Amino acid sequence: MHNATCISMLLGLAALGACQSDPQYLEAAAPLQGGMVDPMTMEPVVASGTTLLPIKIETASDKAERDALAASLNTVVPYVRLDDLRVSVEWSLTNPGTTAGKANVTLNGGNDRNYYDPNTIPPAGREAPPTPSLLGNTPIDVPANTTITGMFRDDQVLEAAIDLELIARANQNPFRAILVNNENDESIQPMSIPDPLDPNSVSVPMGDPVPRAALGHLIRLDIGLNSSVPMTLTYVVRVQDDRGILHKKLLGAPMDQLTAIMPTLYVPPGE
Amino acid sequence: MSAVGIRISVMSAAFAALVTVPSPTYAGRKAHGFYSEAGIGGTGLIKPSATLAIGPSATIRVGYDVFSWLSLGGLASVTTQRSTLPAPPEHEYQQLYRGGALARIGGQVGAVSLYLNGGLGMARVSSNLLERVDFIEPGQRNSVAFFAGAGVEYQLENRHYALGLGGDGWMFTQFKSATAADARVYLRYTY
Repeated sequence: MHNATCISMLLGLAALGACQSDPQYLEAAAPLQGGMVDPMTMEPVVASGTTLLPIKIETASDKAERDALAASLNTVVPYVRLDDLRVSVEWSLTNPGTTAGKANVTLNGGNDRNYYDPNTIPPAGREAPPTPSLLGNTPIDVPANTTITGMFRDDQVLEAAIDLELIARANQNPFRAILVNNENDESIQPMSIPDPLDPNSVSVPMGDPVPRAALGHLIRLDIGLNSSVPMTLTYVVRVQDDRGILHKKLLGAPMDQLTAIMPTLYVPPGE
Repeated sequence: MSAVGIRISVMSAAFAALVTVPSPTYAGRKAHGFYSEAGIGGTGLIKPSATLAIGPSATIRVGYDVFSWLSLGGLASVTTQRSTLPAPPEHEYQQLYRGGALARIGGQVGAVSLYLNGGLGMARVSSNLLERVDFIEPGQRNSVAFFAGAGVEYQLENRHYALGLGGDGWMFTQFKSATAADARVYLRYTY
């Protein structure tokens, strides 16, 4: 075979594969400014920004497929599922001042039914640690006049999506769901809610396990910045769309061509 | 002799055979007719500048020599380039795919050919990285592309083979008239 023919075939194969799941980037509407103090409470303010993934409206065939899957799995199946998207968040954090500081860059978010905000869940007691975020619970040292970069990888965001399902759908304690690695779980087991009035009451399995194919992905991403000194966070959401459900115009898409994303805030049982 | 030495010797021998096989009837003459080229090189964006680094590219061209001085054909190429835009995102790569039709005119002096070529085609980018600098609209990935360039070719002893060095300038009309430059070395086979 001639060299040219070999290279032609390789180029053809590369071009065929290249169109699949190319990454697309969704920029934050504005950088987040951290390190501000609320003048009323003198408490540091957590800066946050929300990105809603531009998901196309579900077609009739998608709906029929989803209904069939729901019937076969005997559970609720969301429109956007775990294997549909690969989502990661790249960020850049700048400390422009002359004082070193600490910062937490966090990721929370929601699927098409629930979203999770740890700031709305008070600690269990005065000595209890704060409720964790889905991702980004490790403080970062940021030297003065320095920019550092980081990333929530797609496997971490996938884990966060499963954790949210564990919290909101399977009634798991957020600490347990977030601190245990569930990335490769094939199913999640819904648990009963212990009776707060009965000290001997424990959480027990309730109903059938929910298979992985019926778990939803994060389609709302809440990025937070909590810093000890003024800092600026810029971030970009990177999405690889394996199912073709992202609108091609991304954040420039007309609203009437997008799925309305209106999850409800997760509230712990008994609150 | 080591394995590496043997490999180099075999490759040297193969190359020598390629360039020196005598062809009594056609020695020194260039074959004429259908041809194919495979080349590698580099591509850099001129406008917008400082957005994507120069990246490697692979190109194939096929066509037909209508006359000794005119060829018509088509090309396909793929390039991958790293973003140099401020993070985030950092160290991301974008692919640029191009295809089109081309015409080439030129002449031969001894074993050396000089040519001019140009054409029209389509280009596609793999991601929306250039949206950050407003060079593509939301959702836009494809553009009509024009190109023109020149090159020099050396006809090997074997009448089917030639080695070449070429360069082209590209303009992508739908990407706010972004421009790029290509350089490549290639092997041409004329059937």
